[in-house]
Amino acid sequence: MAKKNVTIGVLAIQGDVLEHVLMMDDVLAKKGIPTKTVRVKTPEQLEKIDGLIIPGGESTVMSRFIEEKRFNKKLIKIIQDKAKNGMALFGSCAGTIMLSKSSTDKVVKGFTQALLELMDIDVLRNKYGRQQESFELDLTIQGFGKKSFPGVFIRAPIIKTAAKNVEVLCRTTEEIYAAKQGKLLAVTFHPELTDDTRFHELFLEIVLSEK
Amino acid sequence: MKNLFPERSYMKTGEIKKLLTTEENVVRGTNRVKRGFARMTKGGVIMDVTTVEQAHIAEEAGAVAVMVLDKLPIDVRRSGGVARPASIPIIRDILDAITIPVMAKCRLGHTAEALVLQETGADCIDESEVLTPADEFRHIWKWDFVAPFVCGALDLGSALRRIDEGAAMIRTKGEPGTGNVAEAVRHIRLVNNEIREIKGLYEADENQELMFKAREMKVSFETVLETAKLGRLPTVNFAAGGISTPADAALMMKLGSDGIFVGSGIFKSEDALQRASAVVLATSYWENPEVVIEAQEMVSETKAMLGLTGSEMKFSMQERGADS
Repeated sequence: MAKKNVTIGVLAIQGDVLEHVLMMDDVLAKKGIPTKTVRVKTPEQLEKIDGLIIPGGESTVMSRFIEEKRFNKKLIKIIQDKAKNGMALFGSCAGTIMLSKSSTDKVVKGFTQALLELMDIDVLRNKYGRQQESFELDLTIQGFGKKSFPGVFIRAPIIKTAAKNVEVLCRTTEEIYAAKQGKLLAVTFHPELTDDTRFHELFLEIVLSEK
Repeated sequence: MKNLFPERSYMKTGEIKKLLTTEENVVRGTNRVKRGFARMTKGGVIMDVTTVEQAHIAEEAGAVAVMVLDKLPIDVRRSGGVARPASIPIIRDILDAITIPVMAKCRLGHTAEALVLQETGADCIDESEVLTPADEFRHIWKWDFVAPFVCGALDLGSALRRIDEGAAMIRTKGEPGTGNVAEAVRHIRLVNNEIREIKGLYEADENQELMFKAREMKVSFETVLETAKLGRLPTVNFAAGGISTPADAALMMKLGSDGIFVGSGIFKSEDALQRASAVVLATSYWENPEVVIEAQEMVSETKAMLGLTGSEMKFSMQERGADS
């Protein structure tokens, strides 16, 4: 496939934006694509991109900002419209919560928040509890071959259930850690906190796939 | 990409490895997980709270975490006496009430107090100079904890000494409980300039000078080298102390802070929820003046906390533990 000049953005309202930008830039350079990853906060910036990474962070804060009217438009509406028109999205941890169609909280019952509702998955927030339960675990990812992927889980959610049209990339008996649906990619851990660029490479492939 | 998390031998000995019962190879309390936690709060506002009600307001306003303490810094100044951590039941109640991370403050060098806070299940421990120091010469050896620590710093040396001791997050101190942003500005400027200096030395291949710097700052050479190579602190760095308006927050972000701590500024004003939301907005959109002005319009100066300037202060908190 011919290489296209694509622009990838990281939603920069809150979270570990820099880590995603550095890793994505690294992947773009490696694949010979001359563009740089951009930070995205405004509708104008959103209009220009082909792929959006929603970073790790506090999903409550992101929810609050995307549903508020800002620059005369709601960011949530623009992201949803762009996704329908073929923009690829990649969520890590909080980003996965944002992509899901429903989320519940393990600790505080009855908690609700605004979500993008793009992916047919149900997410359980703070599955393992608070920070002291955060952990590292090597994972086997479908399609990544034998070499395991370093999973860094920080106050991580899990994907509780996924619809049939969702391709599960990593799971244990009752928990899903990584999934893909069309041009949407969701992981409950933080590839951007490691040196392993395979998820960002996969995302670039998804962005480059026919529109 | 650059390796942001070099694991050193002594870090590994400090890591506590607990295995989950259901699965093998699960490791907790690693440097990566602890520093990673701090990275997730970037671009956000952490608010001082003393009650469950305030914690709810903070969460609703879009705080990225709350910091639980017994008295707001300005009340610590007013009441005098020994300032200690918040009561355990209050910390527990707040942990049960909100979904965002909960941090709690302990006294400088008070390892037992920090262990107690870790036991409550708090997400992060702040070894804080707002409370009365328990050890005037040493800070807590933080590598031995599963919970990450945030520590104050007023120059590069104190920041890197805390990182050497295992801090996962730094906040440049400012002067708490004053409503005056001047000290916070002074400290972050100082840290930025010092980092630029060592970065220059690194790029000029002046390793001997870097070693000299490390000795001068009483910091390990590895930490100095890592910082010089990155051109920023190896951990997240928040601004704290005296930030009370949205524009104050935007200023600190512009100066390179990763995020903002707000203490007395919010709950000592008469428009707490409004002000808290406005500070959050200005922190996320600090680069967009059209949004900062909107945030600034949300608050009224007549309702702001009055504040103190340097000469009106009875005592300074920022110097506590800075030399050790």
